[in-house]
Amino acid sequence: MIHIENLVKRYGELLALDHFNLDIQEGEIFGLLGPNGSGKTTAINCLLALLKFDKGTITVFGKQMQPDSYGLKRQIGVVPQNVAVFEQMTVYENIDYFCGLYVPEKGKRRELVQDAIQFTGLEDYKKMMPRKLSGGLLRRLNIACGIAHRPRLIIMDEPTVAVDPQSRNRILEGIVELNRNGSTIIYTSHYMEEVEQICSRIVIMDHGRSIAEGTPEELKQMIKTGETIVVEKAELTQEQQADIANLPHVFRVEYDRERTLTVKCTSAQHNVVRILNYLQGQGVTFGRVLSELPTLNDVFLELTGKELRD
Amino acid sequence: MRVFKGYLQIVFKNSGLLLMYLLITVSIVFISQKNIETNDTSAFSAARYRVAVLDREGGKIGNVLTEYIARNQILAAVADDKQAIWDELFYRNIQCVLIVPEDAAKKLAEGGAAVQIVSVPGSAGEYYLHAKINNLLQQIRVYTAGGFSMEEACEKALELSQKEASVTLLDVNGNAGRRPDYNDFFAYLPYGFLGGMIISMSFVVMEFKKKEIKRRITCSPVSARVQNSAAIACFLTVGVLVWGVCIAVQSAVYHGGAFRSENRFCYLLNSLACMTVAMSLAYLTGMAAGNAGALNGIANVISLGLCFLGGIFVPIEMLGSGVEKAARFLPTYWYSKINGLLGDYARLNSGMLQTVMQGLLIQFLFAAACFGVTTAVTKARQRE
Amino acid sequence: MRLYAIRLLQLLRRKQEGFWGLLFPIVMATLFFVSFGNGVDPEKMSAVPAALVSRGNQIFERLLQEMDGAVLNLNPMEEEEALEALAHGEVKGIFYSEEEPSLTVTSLGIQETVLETLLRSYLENQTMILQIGEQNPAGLIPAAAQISRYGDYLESADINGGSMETNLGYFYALISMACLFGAFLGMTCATEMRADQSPLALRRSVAPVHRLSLVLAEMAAAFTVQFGNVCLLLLYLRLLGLSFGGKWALLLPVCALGSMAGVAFGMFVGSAKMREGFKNTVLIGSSLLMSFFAGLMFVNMKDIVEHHAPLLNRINPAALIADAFYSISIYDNPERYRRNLFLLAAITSVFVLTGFWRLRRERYESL
Repeated sequence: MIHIENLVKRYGELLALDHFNLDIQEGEIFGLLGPNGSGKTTAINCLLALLKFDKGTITVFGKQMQPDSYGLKRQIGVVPQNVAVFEQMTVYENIDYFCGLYVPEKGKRRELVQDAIQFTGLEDYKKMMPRKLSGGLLRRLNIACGIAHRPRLIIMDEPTVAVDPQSRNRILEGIVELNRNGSTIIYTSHYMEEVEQICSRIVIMDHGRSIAEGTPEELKQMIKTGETIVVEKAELTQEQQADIANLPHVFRVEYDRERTLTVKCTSAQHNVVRILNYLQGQGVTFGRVLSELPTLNDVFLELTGKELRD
Repeated sequence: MRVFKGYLQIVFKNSGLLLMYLLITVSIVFISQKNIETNDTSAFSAARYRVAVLDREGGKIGNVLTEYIARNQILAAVADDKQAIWDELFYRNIQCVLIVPEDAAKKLAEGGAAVQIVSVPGSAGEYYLHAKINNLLQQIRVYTAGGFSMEEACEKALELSQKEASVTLLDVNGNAGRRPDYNDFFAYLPYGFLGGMIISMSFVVMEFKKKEIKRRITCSPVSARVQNSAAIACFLTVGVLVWGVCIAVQSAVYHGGAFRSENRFCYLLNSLACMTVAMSLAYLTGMAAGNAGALNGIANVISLGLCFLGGIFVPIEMLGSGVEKAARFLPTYWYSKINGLLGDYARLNSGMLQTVMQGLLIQFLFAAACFGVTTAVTKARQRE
Repeated sequence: MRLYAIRLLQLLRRKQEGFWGLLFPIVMATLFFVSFGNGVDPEKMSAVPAALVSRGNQIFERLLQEMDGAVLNLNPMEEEEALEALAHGEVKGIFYSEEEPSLTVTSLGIQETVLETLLRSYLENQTMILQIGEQNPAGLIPAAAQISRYGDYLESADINGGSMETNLGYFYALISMACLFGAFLGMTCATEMRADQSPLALRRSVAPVHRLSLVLAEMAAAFTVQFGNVCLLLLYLRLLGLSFGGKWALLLPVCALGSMAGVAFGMFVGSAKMREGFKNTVLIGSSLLMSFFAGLMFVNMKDIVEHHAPLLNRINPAALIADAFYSISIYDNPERYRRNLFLLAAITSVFVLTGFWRLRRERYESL
């Protein structure tokens, strides 16, 4: 559906996109994950023919995307990163306006607008002005304006920034439902939990490049970490830390001032048991014990040496 | 100190508009001075205008007018053609055209309008020429009423027009009766101060009024009193700075300017008072305006309105008495009054000094009231 | 059509720009009317304080006493006292009622001119009476009667017989400025159309709407609001008594073009890649400068520019609008009117075309 090949974009000396490649299939919820400044929004804006780029090709639905590709644009819905609504129009009027840019027929549009309002849970706020809405509701309005015309492709650029957890969950559920109803979705974010939760395929970006691509499981299998075990309030000596590091399948041990022991192990059975047995054998007292499967942050950390939120 | 510095930083970013207003003010001063030099309308000047006479009568009235203009003004020629007349007037080749109709003598004898005058609307000499010519025609009527023939009456009226009145000009201001050139500079200063300060300083207030910034500052450990004081201090600092620059400019341009005058302290105080008023209005406007369009409107209404009603652009004597009474509530009225006194008299007596003090006090009180009102409104809004 | 209607509704809901676009010119017009509405009439000026040093010319003294309370505020004094009063500004002049009366003043202002005119008038009348008395005594009484029947034997007129009103220049410059106020509306429209200016513009840029339709709708809506404001201003001026020569049909095209020029200028500036604060500065500064050169603060300014730098008047939209008004209501010069209209249309076209070009659908260097 979307094919990006060797995309290069420079802002003066700064290389924002460095031979970026992307392939998105129809029916996916495709995640674009990366820290701030990695090039996600730049890639999206190039895709939408809003930005000039220095090299590369972009095709959407098999055709070159141009600023005046009205046929293609009719099938795309955009939810930009910043709230993009008219301050002087009510919630209903805003959705109606933007839907009207795609769907000229009045009757059909009325239905679509009503559906969008229901979908985003804005029934009680139809006649309110945007300045009276909370952050979460504004975001929902922002989404409603982008999806009301039921596009084939929806591009959502960090739609849950500064949104309360309740609204966020609602938004994520809504995205999944949109996908179920037939829309392909490109979802950019730096919140790995969201991307992990809803995306079928993910590309991790850093410094304008794609550094990893695959399903969440595939990505996690790319890295060494199979399990992360955290033991709180453990009194340990240097020798004991060294012993733990030598246990089978353990490849990294960290111990901080809070007396929290963090052990990274490769994927294997009974990692927790081995560590707890050792601690008991040494008579070490400890608090809670947690075991976590690897996250996308771990993937990013191993691939780049830094956290997603750095 | 940090809040004060923050205000200053934003001020300097918006200094372009302020400069523009001051440049316009200076332009008005120079242009109006040049205009006065070439088109002085006082009775005592030797201003001569280019006047054409279209004598359709070919008789006595036409002759006397032609002769009168030739002796007292500059007689110009123009074709008796509508387009030609308009063009000559439009390009200021002539100031005025007198049209003497065929029945001019008859109309004059009947006491009606005998001659038509076509002049450049809004020009300096329009009223002056009208008065002079009308006076000449009146004298012809007096002579004819006194029994002289029209021809004799015209001749005698012409002779009479050469008669000078004995007027002595006492030099009490050290400038031969004219206001010194630097006085004009001070005369138009309120427009530059008001317009420039309101536009540029209000942007600063609007910046700090932005919802998120206001909230952030409200949450900080800086009290509202300190914030308001910092804002007012910034305004006054910038005001004094700009005032200082203006004083320096007039001193440089006019070879000492107001510093040459015995009333120099009054000049300085008066202009400083005006600046304080401008700053206080800028503070108030910044609180009231929502965006640049609104600010532009408010700034123009206040600056132009206060300047027109206060006698800055149009002399107070030319406004109606009702307007003059209402204008006494305006700080610009008092500024103008004080500046006029300083220009007309080298030494101020106790009565004049009283007027000056009164005017200064009114201006400073006005400024204090504006600052006070704005501070009170700001405090109330912060609590909301 | 739908885009136009919705945009019109949005602009009308924007109270700040619309409100001030209408209110400011109306307030200024009211101020001008209050300031000049009754015209400049020296007879309406307040009495001028003057001192009278009696030196025996009772006829002259009687004349002055007749003026006392109306034109003069007469104070009989001794010379020394009078000179002191003059130096202190308590009186504006000292009349010496000698056989040949004289006047002493300290400056050359309007009030002193009034005193000089009084003196000159007396001297002239005296000379006339003496001459008539010597040469034609029978005519003394009619002559004296004529002296007191001072009339207006000169009429100010334009060639077509209409009447000229001074100070109209201020009103014309004000209408020009009101037209240019549309620049703020134009700037708002441009900011909401270029994807690199606002998120809203970005969303509108990815919509499948022909760019030309969008830009035309924006311009048309902004023009409608602005032209409406200017028409309301004209109506208000009409209520205040300004006739504009009665040629309303000719005024409307000027106002329409002027409003379009203002909107287009705003779009021209608004579509530039500059920070918003700077754009506001450019708009405010340029509209101020244009109005200044059109005579808003100093009514002779347009005249002075015409004399020294006429090209400036040909490219300044504010001056063109004001001059077009002059051409209709004062000069009745259709050729000049058409020229102004043509030049205004040309300038407006330049702004419109440049605006279109800048607002075209394109890819940006950065967003």
